[in-house]
Amino acid sequence: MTDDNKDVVTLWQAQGSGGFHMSTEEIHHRLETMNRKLRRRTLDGYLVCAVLIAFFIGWMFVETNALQTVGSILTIIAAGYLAWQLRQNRFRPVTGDVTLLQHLRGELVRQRDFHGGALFWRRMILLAPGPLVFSAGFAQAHPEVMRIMRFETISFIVIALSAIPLNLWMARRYQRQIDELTRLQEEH
Amino acid sequence: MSQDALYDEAAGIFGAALERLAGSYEADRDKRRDLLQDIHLAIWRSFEGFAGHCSLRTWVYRVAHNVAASHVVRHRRARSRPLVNLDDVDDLPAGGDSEAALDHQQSLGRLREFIQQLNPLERQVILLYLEGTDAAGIAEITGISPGNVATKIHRIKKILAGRFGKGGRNDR
Repeated sequence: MTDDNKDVVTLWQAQGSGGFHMSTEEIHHRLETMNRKLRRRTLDGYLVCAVLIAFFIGWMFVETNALQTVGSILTIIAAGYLAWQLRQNRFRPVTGDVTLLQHLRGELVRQRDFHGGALFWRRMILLAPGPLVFSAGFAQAHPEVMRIMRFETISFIVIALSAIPLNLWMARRYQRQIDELTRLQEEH
Repeated sequence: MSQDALYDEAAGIFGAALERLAGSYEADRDKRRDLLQDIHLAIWRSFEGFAGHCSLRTWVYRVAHNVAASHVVRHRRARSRPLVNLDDVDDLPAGGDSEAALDHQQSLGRLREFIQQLNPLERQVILLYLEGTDAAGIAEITGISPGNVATKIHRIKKILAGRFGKGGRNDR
């Protein structure tokens, strides 16, 4: 270490502490609050899925044609998938068993897969067709709302299609960062 | 040793270093405090699985930097300025202060600003270097090969000497 750097290191370490302190009681309290919030959020998610499933099951008994039935079933499957995803994405605590390189890679892979991996395509394939088929069936049963339904369907398709390149672009960006980490690991 | 006792020990030894770490990851005061709380919570929680396979220092720094790196990845989209590698540092402006001498607070602010521009991995290396961790320790915490750490430290020393050392650009 050069003398100059010694100064910088000393300067860095001499920074005044803000006196931040958390007692273990405070930690316990905050973790309890955090867990309660997480549970609440997960339950809210399950509730939304349950309401969707109940609505589309009910709809099949109220009024239906073949397209609406297929659309309802596909949407019920999609809601079930969302509920399963909620369960899969439960909070994972950070551990000191993994190095930053491994942790960072894990985070980036997760983000990449969310935007462009199997997860993304599964989401698109499972979530998009249900509402589309259901809308087509609804428009067939109610020709008087055909124009509105057509507009909604086209908007939905445009949004869904434009989400693909945007997500794939983000996935490529994360992949570049993963490649950079790989290069760093392989060097030396 | 209980989770609480381990946490108390770690907070006592590394509390100030963790504050410096949070300060170098987050410039906004409120967000910095939130990040620091997240780090402390994560450290306490992590001790449930601490089996003593590595030193307390390595464990605490790993958890703290991992939380901070996740914070950077999550909030990355909101930032307008791209993060850079050490190799790109020469292209960055060193700051436009033309005063004869900068006081400590200004130098510190500039050092923090410089660190915040680095990507998480290189930020961690420089922070550990500034905390006095040797190359082997940095390699163990980061997972980067010791050879690569040595190269990075060499580069860091050069940059720090050039930017913040006596006769460096900031002290002219």
